[in-house]
Amino acid sequence: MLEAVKRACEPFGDKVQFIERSIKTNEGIEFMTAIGASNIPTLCIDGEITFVSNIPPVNDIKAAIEKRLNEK
Amino acid sequence: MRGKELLQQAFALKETDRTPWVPFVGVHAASLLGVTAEEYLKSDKLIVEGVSKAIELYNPDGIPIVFDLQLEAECMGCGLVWADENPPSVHSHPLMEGVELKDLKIPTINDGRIPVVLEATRQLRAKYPDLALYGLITGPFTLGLHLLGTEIFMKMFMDEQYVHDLMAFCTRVCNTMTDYYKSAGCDVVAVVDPMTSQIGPDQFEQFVTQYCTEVFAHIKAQEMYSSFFVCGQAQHNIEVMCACKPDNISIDENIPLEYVKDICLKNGISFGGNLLLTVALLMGTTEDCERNAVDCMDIGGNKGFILAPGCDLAYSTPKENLLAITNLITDDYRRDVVRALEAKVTNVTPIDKAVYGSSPKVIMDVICSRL
Repeated sequence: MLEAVKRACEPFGDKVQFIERSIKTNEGIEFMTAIGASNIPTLCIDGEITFVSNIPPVNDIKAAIEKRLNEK
Repeated sequence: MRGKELLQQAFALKETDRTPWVPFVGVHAASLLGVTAEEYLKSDKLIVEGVSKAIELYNPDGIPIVFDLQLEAECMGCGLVWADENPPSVHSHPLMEGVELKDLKIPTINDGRIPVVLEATRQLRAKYPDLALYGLITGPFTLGLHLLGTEIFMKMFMDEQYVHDLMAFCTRVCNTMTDYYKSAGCDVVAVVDPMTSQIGPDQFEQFVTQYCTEVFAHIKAQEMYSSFFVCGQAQHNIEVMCACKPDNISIDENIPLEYVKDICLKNGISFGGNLLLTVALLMGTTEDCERNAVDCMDIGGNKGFILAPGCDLAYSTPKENLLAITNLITDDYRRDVVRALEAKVTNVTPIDKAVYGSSPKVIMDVICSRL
């Protein structure tokens, strides 16, 4: 998941901020609980759970980023 | 009844006097000795010392020899990155670096760290004749991913025959490793195939079923028990995993234990899991671990259930947490006390989503299990 997200983010440069939340840290567990995620890996875009568990195709992640950018 | 005999009852779906306990001690045993994961996994002497220490502390019914899914891959040319507190990880894939599939060789008994692991197995077998020893093999799909990298997902669409050829090769590796573990004295072979959680049941049936079925049939033919380990959100695949006919399926906290129990028992297969690896075992208190263990035991029941962590224990898992579970296994009174204790209420600060909306950037949070 991490690699797929990094690749999907590359073309957007500094328009996208990438944060890794490891559940092997207290901060990561707190974030997971607060956001309401129950599976790993989970990808949240602007605080919304968007992809859960399976590695999404890079193009699907790019499309989700573009959609969110257009909404801003 | 305890040890191997108790686990045999569980595998056979017979009622057990108490819950069988199999702590998946991997590099956690290195921490018990105060050595690094790399030092540990390269030394049969340290593996024997570490597993012996874990047996002495945690009084298990069964235990893995090592929990290292890179053992076979390393022998076949995958480059590894070693870490002090984790098993190694694969960083290069021979089939992506010009090596042909036909040129890959099945590891021999003398390749890589296989002799280290087998020597440790022989010594532990002699030392603990009544304990179930688990030999772990890398499942064919995960091994294929090690050899080919993520290109395997592309080839599943673009070159199906290649993936079948690769899976057939990996199956031969699995069967060979089974033979090695049999000769060294293991009782159970665990086929660890976590990457199958990344495919759906249709792809599982197309690319995995026939190969894993062959692996489990081979284990049975060697008169050993088999377990199918998967981690990650693999709930969608539990039915198709059962169709491969393992003796047991072991899962992590991504899948509800109730669900796995229902599906497995319907298919005549025992099941195990799914203690919380990080929230309870690594970072929780002894009370958190006891409560989690009682929850698992109450759901699992006394027919076909094996209590185990969701996957291999983290290096730094406090031994007090595991000792608390060890004591709970045989202490009916303590289990009643834990049930009666009020669940701790955790205050969680909700995420302020306005922060996301007000930023000109799109913020991507990836929740993962990497350290």
